[in-house]
Amino acid sequence: MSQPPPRPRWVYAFGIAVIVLVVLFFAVHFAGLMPMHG
Amino acid sequence: MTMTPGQRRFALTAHVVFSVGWLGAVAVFLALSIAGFVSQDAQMVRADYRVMESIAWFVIVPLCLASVLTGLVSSLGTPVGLFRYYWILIKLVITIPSTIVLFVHMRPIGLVSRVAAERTLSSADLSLQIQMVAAAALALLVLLVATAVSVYKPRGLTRYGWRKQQEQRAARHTT
Repeated sequence: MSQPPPRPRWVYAFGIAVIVLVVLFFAVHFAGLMPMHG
Repeated sequence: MTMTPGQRRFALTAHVVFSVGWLGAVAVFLALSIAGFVSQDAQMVRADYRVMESIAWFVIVPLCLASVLTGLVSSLGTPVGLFRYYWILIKLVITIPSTIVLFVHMRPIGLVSRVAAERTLSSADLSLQIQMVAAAALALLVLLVATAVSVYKPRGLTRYGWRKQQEQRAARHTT
């Protein structure tokens, strides 16, 4: 039985980009620049 | 359920049209939010925010829902599936949260529109105006990434996709 292929590197890069965006989003909210619900 | 080649092409065409339309509508929304933020003309600013609410409800939301729906139909109706390739999975990971964020964001859009209907915007409304520009810019970036992923289709089978592929190969050998 062969092994499943390794996860491509671009998937990891995408995951890191998503984490950075989410952190940035909350940082901007907590900095008070944007109200969460207007 | 697997679709016929004609049905597949129709579903894919609809998905491309709705998705690119969504991208274009968000670009218009971003242009209006920037105009509302930088313009010195109070009437123009008020009109901008009124129009933005209409665009959001009558163009962006329907195109978003249609894009998600046709995307699901296109993937589930073909052997490609929804969870077999990373590029499709990642489009789903982009689209579903974007849809949720859009609906959450409809509240501040409605709020700024109501403010614009009642009075001239002041410095007290600055954070709302910044929110409009920032959210639209972020939405545009996310949709551009989804479009690029759809065009480039980067390689990579998920573990589920690999398992399904193995099962199909085994089934072919036994028949």
